Amino acid sequence: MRFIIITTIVLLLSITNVDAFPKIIKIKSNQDYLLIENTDLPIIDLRITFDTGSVNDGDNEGILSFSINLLHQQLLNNKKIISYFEEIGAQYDSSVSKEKSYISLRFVSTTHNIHLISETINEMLSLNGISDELISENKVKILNIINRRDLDPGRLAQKKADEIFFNGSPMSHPTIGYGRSIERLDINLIRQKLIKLISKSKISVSLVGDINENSSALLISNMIGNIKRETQKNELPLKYNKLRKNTENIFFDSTQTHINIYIPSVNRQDKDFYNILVANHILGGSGFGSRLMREIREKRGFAYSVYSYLSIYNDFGILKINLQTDNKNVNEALYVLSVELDKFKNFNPSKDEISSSKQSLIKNVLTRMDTNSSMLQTLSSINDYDLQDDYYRNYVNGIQNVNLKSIKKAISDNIKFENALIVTLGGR
Amino acid sequence: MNKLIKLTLVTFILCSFNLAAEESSKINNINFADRVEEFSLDNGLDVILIKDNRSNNVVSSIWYRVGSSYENEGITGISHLLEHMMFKGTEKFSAGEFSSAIKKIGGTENAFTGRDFTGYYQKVNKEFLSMCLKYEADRMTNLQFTNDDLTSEREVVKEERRLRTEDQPISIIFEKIGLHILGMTDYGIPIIGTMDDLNNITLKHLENWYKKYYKPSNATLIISGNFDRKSVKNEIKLYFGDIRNTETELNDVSSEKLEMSFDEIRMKEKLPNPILILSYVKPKFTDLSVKEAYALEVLLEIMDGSFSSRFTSNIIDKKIAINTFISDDLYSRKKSIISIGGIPRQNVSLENLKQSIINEFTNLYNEGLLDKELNNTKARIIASNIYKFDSIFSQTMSVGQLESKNLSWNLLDEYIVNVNSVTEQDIKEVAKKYIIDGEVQISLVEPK
Repeated sequence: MRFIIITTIVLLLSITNVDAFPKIIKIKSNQDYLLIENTDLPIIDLRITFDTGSVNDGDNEGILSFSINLLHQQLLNNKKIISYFEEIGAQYDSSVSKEKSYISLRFVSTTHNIHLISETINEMLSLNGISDELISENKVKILNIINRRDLDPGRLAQKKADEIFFNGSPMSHPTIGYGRSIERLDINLIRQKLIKLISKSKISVSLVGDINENSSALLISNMIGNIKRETQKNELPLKYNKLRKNTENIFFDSTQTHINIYIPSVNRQDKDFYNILVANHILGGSGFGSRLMREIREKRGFAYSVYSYLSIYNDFGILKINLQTDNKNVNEALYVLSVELDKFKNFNPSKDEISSSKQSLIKNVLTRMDTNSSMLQTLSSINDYDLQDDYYRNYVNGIQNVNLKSIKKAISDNIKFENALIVTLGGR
Repeated sequence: MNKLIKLTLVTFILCSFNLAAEESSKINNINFADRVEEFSLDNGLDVILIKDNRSNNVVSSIWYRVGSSYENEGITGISHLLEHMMFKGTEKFSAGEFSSAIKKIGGTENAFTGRDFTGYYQKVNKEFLSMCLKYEADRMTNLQFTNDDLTSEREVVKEERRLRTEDQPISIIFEKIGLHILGMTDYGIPIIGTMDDLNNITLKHLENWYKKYYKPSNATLIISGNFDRKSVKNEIKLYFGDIRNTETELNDVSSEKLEMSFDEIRMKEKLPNPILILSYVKPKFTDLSVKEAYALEVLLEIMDGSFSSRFTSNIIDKKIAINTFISDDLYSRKKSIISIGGIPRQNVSLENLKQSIINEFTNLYNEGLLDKELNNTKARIIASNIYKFDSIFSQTMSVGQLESKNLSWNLLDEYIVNVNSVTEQDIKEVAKKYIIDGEVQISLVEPK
């Protein structure tokens, strides 16, 4: 017994070794600008995040995604901005989610490149290259993507689930928008949108790699220092509405039926977040050996991919379950899911399940921080959810404090099974 | 003064200091040779150690030289199905025990099957490397096959095929083209197998496949990351050293007398727009001269490797196509297909798009490269090569894929030298030989 106690203490000490977590620097004490300096490789990863997402699209669904997609295509001295990046081998990316949007770059860390990137991003955000021609060309590409999405059962099922679950809320539409809303965009709407995005959003910057704090500060200043900023927006919390019905079956000509389940849950700042995180890990968030994987895939061969995850928004979260199965298996798969969800309502995991999940989650947070890309992703999340202060220690403590009683209470208090939505889409 | 002109001046001034030289040396000194050590055990197991101390993690992986290109009609998909079965139990360990152990320590694991390899990996903290080796060595020879496991896993793989192929028109199109040109041999065989063959594979087939290909002399163990060289070597010898090779002979079923079809095919698929695909057959990597192999790589990058490529500037921006694509495998072990194509704009015919694509190659051949075009392309390729070193997993994948094709990891370092050696004339020559004068198979896909 003594051996076990000693082992446990050693384990706890080793897993809470804060030094093992990369040091996060607030650049010039600004909590919106974070850096992890790592000089092992001559590369820099940069992400600029705007706290504006598709929920701010208003009546023009898809306008933010469309507009952000134009930024790198603008002409600067008769050359596309993206060409300046590509000539130095830099990789550019941009993305829009419901509540955030970002642009990111990876480049080789020469002095020349740092200057070029900062100056070019500054030019890009000055929006001088937005033109009718550019908009019209982008419409062709985006409409094609929308049309393809509507023929893909997986993506279509997710779109339908969002529309039903968020019905009546600005979260209901897909970030890329609809054909009809994209068709009616014009240069005035887009310029206004981008000006508002750049001047009124909260902007945060995450940097990882071969750059020190002073150079980072200079880079940020050159990129966005001259942008006129206005007062932060202060919007009302978003809500989802009570569902009129909990199940929606949609016919689609496909060999498989996609099943999407949404159950209201907690957001990242909620005191019960870590309890739900551990519960989800046991339910379907941990791949092989999770309950859903075991019952649906391993025992019955019903699906290649089945999982649950916490989708986190500013004001709430959703526990989502996803799988796809041969049309002929849908009823049985749904039955197995309902049995597992019933068990989850009255969750009673074994001590071993809880301790294994806690250990896995704590150890994994360090294991996954082994590339600049993954560190950038984590920095960005820390910024997104205002988790700067002692992120790693809080995470470890949060998980360690989870126990059977706290999980049961957290599920009972926060998982709103009465507002759960099940959407099936396929050739049922 | 324009900002970018100013920037050029700044760069020029900086170059006169030592900083630029220092930066240049930092970039040029990243290579595999400085971090790789290789050796073989007496039983023939090849071992490659890739030292990278950027984190406390290691990736432990094993690569078997078998994949879909080793299969034949009747049992297509067997390599991939066996990959799934490898997560079941052995005499010592129950089904899922390995996965569960990895999960508990916060590690990640997975497996993959390609045309030329089947691989398994775990990414864990270095303190757990020994445990991974123990499990991996055990399942190399002690896997237990049961009908129950096969019954459920066969269904899982069929679901995977439905998800990734049957309900994905683009996958269906490329599967049809591969089969049409190369037939049910070599790289024409779908990695996941046909539905009929998946239904036909028996436990006996799987056991035979396992015994034939899963043995030390047909595998490469690759460990990358932060490890102690001496102890990892001891552990590898401890766990893998006593594994004996089965006596089954390895024979590559590939047909050198491949009968290829270049007839045009027309399809209707559930897509919003038509698609044109031009397919060219390329010799395997070792049948190409070094100059030709890398000139083709640079040529295809110039054509469609970026937003600044010729296809983007001359086909997409000139409103001929909505998008374009090229796919190619530089290090193919067999004859492979270079696919070039695109989606035409609404009032453009597939024939017009075809002509526009071919014109790009002809124009390059007749008029040569644009100012800086070659240098910019090389800069992109070289930068991408540096980015690869961010992840021990991607280093493992790069080395493993080459070794599984009986090519050396040294090619990864030679890649930069070889790309840098490509000249305009080399590019023009391969454009003419393989594309302009090459035999082409045309596939036209219309929306259903």
